[in-house]
Amino acid sequence: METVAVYWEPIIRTYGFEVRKGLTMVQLALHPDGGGDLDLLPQGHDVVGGSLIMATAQRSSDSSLAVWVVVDGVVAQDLRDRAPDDNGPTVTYPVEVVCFHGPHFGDRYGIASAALSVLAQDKVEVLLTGCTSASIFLTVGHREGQRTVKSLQRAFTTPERPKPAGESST
Amino acid sequence: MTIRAGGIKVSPPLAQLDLARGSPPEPGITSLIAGLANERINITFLTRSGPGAAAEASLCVAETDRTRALSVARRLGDLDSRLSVIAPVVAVSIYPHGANAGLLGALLRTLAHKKLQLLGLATSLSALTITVEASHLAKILTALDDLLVLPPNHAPLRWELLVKQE
Repeated sequence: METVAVYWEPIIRTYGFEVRKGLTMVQLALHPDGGGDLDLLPQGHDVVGGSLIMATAQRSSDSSLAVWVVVDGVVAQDLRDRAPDDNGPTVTYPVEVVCFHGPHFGDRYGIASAALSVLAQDKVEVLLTGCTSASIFLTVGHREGQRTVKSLQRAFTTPERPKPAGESST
Repeated sequence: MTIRAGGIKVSPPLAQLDLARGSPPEPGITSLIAGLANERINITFLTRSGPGAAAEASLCVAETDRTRALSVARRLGDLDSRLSVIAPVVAVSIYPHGANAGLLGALLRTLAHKKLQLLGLATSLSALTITVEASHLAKILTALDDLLVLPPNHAPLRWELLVKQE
């Protein structure tokens, strides 16, 4: 089965931008044998008092996996407290996450390019980028979230929701 | 230990392109993805990190777009010399992640315990997606079957729906 999607958008539409503030970004190393910083990560059912906001991972040169997690609440405090001071995970606090989503973003060419191009032009330093499914997640520095959104709004728009009947538009 | 999840989705075959850090850094990932967009090549998965990983970025395109993607890189000042290509790979998405850091921790522990190597990972609003070599898919799904409890009527792993943008 094949569905052909055709978008004619002078500016790419999104469902809106969200900025999360006061977050903690931790970079962990996971070795192929299961060693590394794996024990620092919580495990199991819902972790009470903290959320995983964003995670990415890429291969490292020594065949280990570099994992970045951006978390808040108790999980963040726990990671900050337990991370060794030397030669351990890199903790960055506070950071902000900007995320947005759009129709068929994961199936359409040009979406990631539109985002990263304007951010590069506006010299917004992005610490971490993750694009999968219909979402784009960006981790930026403290107090950089709103500037990031402003930059992205040059390439993306959020259509206004229609007002309910009888409600004034002003 | 098992964790409840709503479903698992397995992507069609992909090619993963890992872009090593360069000196000078440009042309870099921004140039590459702009080139891919010009060629109407969709990026189904993208991560870009700060220092600490060998790769500046990892991205996945449909395996059928692999040759065209490498041609784009070659035209960008020999950018292809900084690319390592792994194909075929598949993206396996677990949803919903429920913003639960415990799911991520349990997943990484399970795969490490079974010596199954991840090639990449990223989260969306609802899904936690990993990329793995396609030849390891059966073992990955067995490991996920041990870890996750899916509803009896969960969606098929492979969706028979291909969205193609004109």
